[in-house]
Amino acid sequence: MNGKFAEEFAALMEVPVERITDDFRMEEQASWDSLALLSTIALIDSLFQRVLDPTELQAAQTFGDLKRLLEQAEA
Amino acid sequence: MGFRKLQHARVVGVAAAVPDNVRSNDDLEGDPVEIARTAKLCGIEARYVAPDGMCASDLCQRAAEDLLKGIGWKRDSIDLLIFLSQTPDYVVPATSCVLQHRLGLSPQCAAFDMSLGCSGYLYGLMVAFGMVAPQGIRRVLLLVGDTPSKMVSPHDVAANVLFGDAGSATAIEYDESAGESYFVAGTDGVGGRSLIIPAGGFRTPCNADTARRKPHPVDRVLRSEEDLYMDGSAVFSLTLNHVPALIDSLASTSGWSVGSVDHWLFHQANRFMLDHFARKLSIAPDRMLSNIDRFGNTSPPSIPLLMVSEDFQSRCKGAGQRYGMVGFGVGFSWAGALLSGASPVTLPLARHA
Repeated sequence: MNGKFAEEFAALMEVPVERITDDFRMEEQASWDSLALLSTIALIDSLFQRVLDPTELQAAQTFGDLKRLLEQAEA
Repeated sequence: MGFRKLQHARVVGVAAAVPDNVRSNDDLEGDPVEIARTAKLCGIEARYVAPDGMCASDLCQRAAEDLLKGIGWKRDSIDLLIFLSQTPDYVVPATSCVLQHRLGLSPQCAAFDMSLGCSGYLYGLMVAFGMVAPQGIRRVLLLVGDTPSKMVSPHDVAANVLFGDAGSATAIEYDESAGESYFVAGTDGVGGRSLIIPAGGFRTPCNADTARRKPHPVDRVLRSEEDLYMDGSAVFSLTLNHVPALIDSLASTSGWSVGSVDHWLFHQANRFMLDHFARKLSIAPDRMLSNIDRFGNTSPPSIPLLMVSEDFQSRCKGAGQRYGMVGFGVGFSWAGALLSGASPVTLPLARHA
């Protein structure tokens, strides 16, 4: 899951991919706004064919939280 | 999901009108960085905005005048007038009744309003197609328009970037030789909270408090309860949950594959969503029409506005064309149609002063 997802998530957050670890905190980024939420929903739909509930997405604080959300959706 | 297979109806012609007043991104008030970022994602460079005193009905009336002249319909031959909008002239009476008089239609013409947003054109078309018959209602004038720019707070940058105003007129006629048409529609009312003007109806009438603009608890934008609130990510999520299923349903009930449809006309929600759907549904870019860059999101008339574009006219010549139309939005409501046959007459876009 990490490879392409991290790469494209880094692009939409406008940060180098090396920074996208499980501890990466979205709320500390100025780029984490309503438009980034839309882009993240689209990215996850494109890569994993999953439509995340925006309230769940907004509750995710780190990239690790995002991955856990996806794992729960797959379970 | 509601499904209708309809025969013996066809779209004879389409016209559309926008206000004469164009507003570019440079003309918008607010943080230039936020405007630029939103405009880029939405793919919008300009939109037409109705001045004070100009209503959706005025734009629809202008489109209807052009259309009736263009297709040569006599006014007393129109059996039904439908006005579909979320920005009517009055609470009462129905704007369709006002327009029957203003257009000089016969007193024998039935008239009623429908209230829907971005899915509305397809609902209006489905009702019109369903009502025509060999006797009785043979000709329908479907007027679809909105002035969403009047619904939004001046402090709401995203909404001011996104929305534009327009009106349209579509002529539908009973035709024994018309091909089959397929309509699919659905609703998920839980989404109503994601795109709403909370006050101004009878649930919460307007008062001094509902008119007061204050920071919204979700996005901190200065907005009153009489202004439109939109939770963009919730609307997008609903759209992703329902529109692909709508396309699947249209394809399975008609037997037409997505690739066999010559022209897809999606509600012009925003560039980002349109690109996402084109990729997800494997619709070739040259089959997915778009004009959102010049008009923004005009809500229900966005599809007829596409139909009067030079792009549509140059692509859709001759008989035997297949058209797919998809609308989705406020409600949450969605509908789609697959039509075939000769291209309708389209009139040049009018700019109404």
